[in-house]
Amino acid sequence: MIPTSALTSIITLFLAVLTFLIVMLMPALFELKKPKDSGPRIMLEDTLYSKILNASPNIPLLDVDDEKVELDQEIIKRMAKVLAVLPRLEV
Amino acid sequence: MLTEFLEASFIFLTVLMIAYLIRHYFFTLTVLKNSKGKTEVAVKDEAYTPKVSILIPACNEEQVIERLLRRMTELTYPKDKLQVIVIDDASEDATGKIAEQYSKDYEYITVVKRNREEGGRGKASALNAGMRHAKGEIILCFDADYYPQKDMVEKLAKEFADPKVGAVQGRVVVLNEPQNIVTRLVALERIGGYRVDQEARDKLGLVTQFGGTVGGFRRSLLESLGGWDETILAEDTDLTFRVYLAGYRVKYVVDAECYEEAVENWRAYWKQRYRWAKGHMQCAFKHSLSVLKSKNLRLVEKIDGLLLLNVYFMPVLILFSWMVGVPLFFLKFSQWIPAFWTVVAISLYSSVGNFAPFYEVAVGAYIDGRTRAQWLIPLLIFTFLYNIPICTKALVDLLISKLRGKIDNHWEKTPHTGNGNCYIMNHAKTLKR
Repeated sequence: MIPTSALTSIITLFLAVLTFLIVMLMPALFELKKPKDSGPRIMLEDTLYSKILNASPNIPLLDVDDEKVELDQEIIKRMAKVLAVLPRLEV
Repeated sequence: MLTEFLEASFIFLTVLMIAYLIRHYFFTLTVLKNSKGKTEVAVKDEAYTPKVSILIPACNEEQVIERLLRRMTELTYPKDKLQVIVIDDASEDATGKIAEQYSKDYEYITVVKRNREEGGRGKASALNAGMRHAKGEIILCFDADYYPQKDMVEKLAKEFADPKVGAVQGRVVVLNEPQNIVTRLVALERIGGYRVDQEARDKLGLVTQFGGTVGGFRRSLLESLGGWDETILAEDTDLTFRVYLAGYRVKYVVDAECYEEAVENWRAYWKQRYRWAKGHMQCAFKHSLSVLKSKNLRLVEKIDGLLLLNVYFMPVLILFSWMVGVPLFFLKFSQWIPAFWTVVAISLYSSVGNFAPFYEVAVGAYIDGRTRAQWLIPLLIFTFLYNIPICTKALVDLLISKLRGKIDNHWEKTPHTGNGNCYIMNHAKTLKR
C-alpha cells in the first residue's frame, strides 16, 4: 500500500513532466500539423551578379559610323559584382 | 573502489561535455556577431579561372542524375575550362544511359563506366577512378542527388587563388525539406552544421571540414596525398585531416549553396549516420595522434581537430555517463565536491548546456530568416536520442572488426527517390516571378 502523500507526489511529478513535455513540444506539433515555414531555403543563385552576367553576352553601347562598339565582358563582371554587394552593405 | 571509479568517470565525462558545450556556444556567438556586421567583400583574383574537373560518382541514380547533368549544362563557368566526369559505378538502372546521352550532346561531359567486378565498392573507389580521367587543376565533387547554383564553380574555384587553400567546401541545403518530419529535422541539422559550425570554424581559422560533396581539391595536392582512401568509410573527413596535416587548409564558402536530397525515413537515416559514425571513428583512430604531433597545426587547430575527429564518440559517452550517473546518484554524492555544488553544476548544465547544439540550430535558422522552422527545434531531441544507439553500434562493430583483424567497410548506399524534383520546379517558378 503506497502512502497517500507519496502517491500525491508521484502523480504531481507525473503531471508536471507531462505538462512540461506538452508545452515544450506544442509549437513543434502545431508546425507539423499546419506547416507555415517557407522551406526549402531558396538558394541565392539569381543574384544581381548572375542576372546581369546572364543578360549581357555582349551589350552594344553605341553605333558610330555603323561600327558597333561593345562593352568588355570583364568590365561587366566587375560592375555586376560591385552592384550586387552594394545593397548588402551597412550604412 | 567502485564509487571512486564512477566518480572519476563522471567528472571526466562532464569535463568533456563542457568542452563541447563551450565550443558550440563559441561557434554560435561568432557567427551571430559576424552576421550583424558589414558584408565581407573579399578581394579575389577575378582573372583566376583554372580548368576544373567535376566528378559525379553515381550508382543507381536514375531518379536524380538527369537534373544534375542538366544543371551542369547551365553552369556559368566557361565551358572550355570545364570537364564533367560521371562515374557510372556498376549501375543496374538507367543511370549509365542518361549519362551517355548527355555525353553525346555535350563534349565536356564524359562517362567512366565501371563494371560489377571493379565497381560498387563505395564512393572513394569511384572517385579515384574518376580522378584518373580528370584533366583540371581543380577537382570538384558532387553527389548525384545534388543541385548546385549556376555560379557554384566560380565561387569555389576562386578560393584556390590563395596557394594555402588545398580544398574548398560549399554549403549544403536540404531540397526535399517539406516532405516529412525526417527531412525537416535533417534540414535543421544541416542549418546548424553548415550555417553555423562550418562558418564559425572558417572565420576562427580552425579545422573546416570537407563534407565529401559540394567541394573539391587542388589536383596536385590530391595526387600527392594519394587520392581518396578506400579503406575509410568517411573518406571526406579522412582527406580533410590529410590536407591539414600536409600544411594546407580547407576554405568554407557559405554563399556557394547546393541542394541535396535528404534521407526520407528513419531507416535510411540510421544507415547513413551509421556509415558516418563508423567512418569518423576510423578517422579518429587513424589521425588523432598525428594531429597532436603535427607541426603544421596551431594549438587551437589541434584542439578543434581532436574535438571534430572524436565527435561521434560523444553519443556513446553520453550513454556511458547515464550508466555512471544513475548508480552514483543512488550510492552517494561525490567525496571531492560538496553535494550542494554538485547539484548546482548538474542543474546549470541541464538548464543551459544541453541546449547548446539546439541554440546553434536556432541561430542558424534565425540568420536564414527561418523563424518558423525554429518551432521544430524541440523535436531534435529525438534525433539526438536516435544517434545514441547508432553511434554505439558503430563503435561496437568497429571494435569487433578490429579485434578480428577484418575490415568491414561495406558501403551502404543512400537511395535517392527523386522526390526533390518538384521543389526544383517550384524553385525555378519562384525565381522567375
